[in-house]
Amino acid sequence: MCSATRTPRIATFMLAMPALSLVAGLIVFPTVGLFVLSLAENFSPGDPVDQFFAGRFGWANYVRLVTDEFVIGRLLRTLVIGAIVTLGTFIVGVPLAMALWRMSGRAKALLLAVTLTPLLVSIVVSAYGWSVLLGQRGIVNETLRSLGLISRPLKLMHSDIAIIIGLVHILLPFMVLNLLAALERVPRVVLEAASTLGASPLRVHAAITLPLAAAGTRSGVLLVFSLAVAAFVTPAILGGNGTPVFPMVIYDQFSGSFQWAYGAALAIALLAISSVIVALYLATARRGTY
Amino acid sequence: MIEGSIPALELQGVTKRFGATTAVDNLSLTVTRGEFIALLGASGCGKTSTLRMIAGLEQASAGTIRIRGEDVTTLPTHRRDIGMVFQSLALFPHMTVADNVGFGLRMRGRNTADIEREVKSALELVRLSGYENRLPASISGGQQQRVALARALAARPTILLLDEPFSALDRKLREELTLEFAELLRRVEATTVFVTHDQEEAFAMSQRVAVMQAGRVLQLDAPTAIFLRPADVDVARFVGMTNVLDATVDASGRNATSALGLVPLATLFEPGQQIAIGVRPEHVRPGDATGTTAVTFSATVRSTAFRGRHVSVILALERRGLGETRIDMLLPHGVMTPRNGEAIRCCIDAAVVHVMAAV
Amino acid sequence: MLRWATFAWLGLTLVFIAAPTLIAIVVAFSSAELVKFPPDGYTFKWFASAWGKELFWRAALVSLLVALSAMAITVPAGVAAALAIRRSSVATRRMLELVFMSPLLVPAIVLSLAILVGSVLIGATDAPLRLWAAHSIIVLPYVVRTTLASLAGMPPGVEEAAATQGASPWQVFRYITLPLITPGVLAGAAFAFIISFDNVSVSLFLVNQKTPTLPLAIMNYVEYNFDPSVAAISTTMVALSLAVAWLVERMVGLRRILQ
Repeated sequence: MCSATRTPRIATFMLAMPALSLVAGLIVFPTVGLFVLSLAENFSPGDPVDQFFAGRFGWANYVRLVTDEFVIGRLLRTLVIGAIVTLGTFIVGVPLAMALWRMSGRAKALLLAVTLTPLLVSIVVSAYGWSVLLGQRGIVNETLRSLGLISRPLKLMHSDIAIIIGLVHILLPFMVLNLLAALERVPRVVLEAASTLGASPLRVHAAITLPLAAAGTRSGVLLVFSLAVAAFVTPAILGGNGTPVFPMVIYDQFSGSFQWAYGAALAIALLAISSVIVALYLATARRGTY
Repeated sequence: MIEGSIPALELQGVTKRFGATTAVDNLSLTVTRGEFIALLGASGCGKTSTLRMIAGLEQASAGTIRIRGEDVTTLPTHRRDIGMVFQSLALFPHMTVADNVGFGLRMRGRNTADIEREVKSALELVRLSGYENRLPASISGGQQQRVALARALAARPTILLLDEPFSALDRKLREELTLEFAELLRRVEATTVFVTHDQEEAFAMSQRVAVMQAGRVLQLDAPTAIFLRPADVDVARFVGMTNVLDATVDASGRNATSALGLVPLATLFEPGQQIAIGVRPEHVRPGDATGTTAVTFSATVRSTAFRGRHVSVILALERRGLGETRIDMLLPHGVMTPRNGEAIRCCIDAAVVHVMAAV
Repeated sequence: MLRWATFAWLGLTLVFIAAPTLIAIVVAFSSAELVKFPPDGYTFKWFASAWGKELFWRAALVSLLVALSAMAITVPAGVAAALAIRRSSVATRRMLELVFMSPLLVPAIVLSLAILVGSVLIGATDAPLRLWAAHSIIVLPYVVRTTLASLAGMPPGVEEAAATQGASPWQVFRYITLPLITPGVLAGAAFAFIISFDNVSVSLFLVNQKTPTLPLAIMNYVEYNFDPSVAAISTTMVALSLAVAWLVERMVGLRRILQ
């Protein structure tokens, strides 16, 4: 853990400089720029930059945001979808995480690899796969048809259901990894002690494993929720017409209605919401020290 | 001190503070050339911090450190002429044994032919000739130990530092290596500072031992002196002289009264002075007095335990007005083990009574 | 009984996870013109057709260049940052870790828009430049993480041992630290490559419509075309991603990076 010999502060600072500059220039500066844009009150995208700075600035866009029924409605909708997705990943993730926790060696490595595939494969590939599965003449519909369970194809694609399925698929690895980490922090020997004291496997899990793994569970839930709420690509590909979720509303401001300043305000709002969730996540996630 | 002979290592008033805790407290120590000295103590006594300050891996909060007369207190580690064997050995996993051992020479800018030669002789010294091209992962724990030592010695440093190097080994290997290393280091006349919590190891290998506690040196002496004549009650307890009793010097100044009765003293003391009497458990003998006996007493056996090499017996000595005093006794084979509850007579020779300052 | 239920549920879960990818691969090899499942026959023709289209291999080239150039700046910066973190006090360490993880914590769409706006503000609206910038920053956390994991994985005390052997701080780095962390750093770079190559959300606003990255080219193509060429390209991408992921797992372990 301890590094080599006494290290001069200046060297440490210089080592961090390049990466810090990247963050400053590519995260901090752009975000500030976005925020400044959100304060512009009479800006249109075609305007040259100097005219932008000469314009009026104020909170008008935010006022509009807060009073815009449609936008607020979409935001709430997004939060609901996010909650459903989080619940879905939790329900599907817990058995998987527990199975992984009990495994070791090759089997575990293999299962883990499969679990991580949604992360390793581009979103477009997954979305394409879902479109084939869920389409009007896709696998799910054809199978249900041939089994005689339905007479007309279900509209699965381009719907909220598709969004939810797609997001659960993409975010499952995050949930599983968090849960697994939390479970692995539970010392096995404590569980063994509980069974020597007479607790059946179910009671051991209920009384010991669950409380001890709770912190990791909280962090997994928060992480998935923050990612689900901010998701754009999956809803864009799998979602229905219009703008079913908040990020798509933001997109629309920039590409559809050309209300860049308003869009910027919406983006900052999303950032704010996401930051709150992330802050909670960081507070509950116990990171290992290096 | 012979004029012109500079000590290999000198610590003066060295102190190390970590925030509110003082790990090493005003420690002074001199090590002469070729001497093997051990820093002995339980964990947390400051011995490792001291070693690391000598190595330069930690900065002293106060005091000076001199190696061969040169003040190195603020000199970075790589410029001090030292060799160190770490507790975890820390062999370079990506280098062969030869590269590991030759690393120090390489850093000192020696040419390839020289390095090869020195590596060869260093490996011969630790009886690992022919292992040059092996990787650390492919050799046994004991062999890794030897490579670590060879690496530390190859560049013939002024001072060799050993940080509990044997702690990861099993008992048998430890015993073997301890003697081998001690003999080896004596042969090459390496000035060595050795940190350990194991008394036997420290006594077996060193010419002098510094018993440390709470950042201070309690006693710096030859092993036999520490063992038989601990400087104070703390050292006494540490080296197993567990029978420590309060005593008061009587009017004659030649005896002291204690729970054991009247104890004759080897030298004249101030009458009325409070002292502490120490007796090792193996020096308490059951049976009647002989010509050399100084103290006799009767006690009841409270418990006995067979420990393989000895039988340990706990006795309760009753004295009117003083209540019950616990006396530990260690019996070798061949002596009848008393039964619990039995009342027996014991005696102690004059020569083994040790006097210390009162607690 | 419970056992079987658990197995069944787990099996279903795994099918769920693997389904889209597997479908894409199967469709890529199917012989029918329209996407159909199960396929009538198997063929390689879609691969030929897909990679024959200029639009796709040009996009692949763009993705490749962006990924490589992003790595070129991020890997050195990230390794240096990891070294800095390791040398810092506990408090500074946490702060730095947070700062370098920040790209992961900002919603992708917000980041993409922010960089767009930022680039307009300073007048640097060149698409390749913006892409390079955006991909560099999203890849940084992964490089920093893998390097930190590598540094932690070094045998304890080797750097101190080297110092006691007379190696100056620079020599310690050159002869001990660097060789020992290189596998991990390479793994991080490889992982960064996949992340960049596969990325959609950040690239969305920053590409030049005429020269999109490969994932975006796929997205555009799918809007108007229904042949399995897309599946073929996707399969190639999957193969690439999995190959790199396997490499990373062998070197350092995927879990270390993703937690």
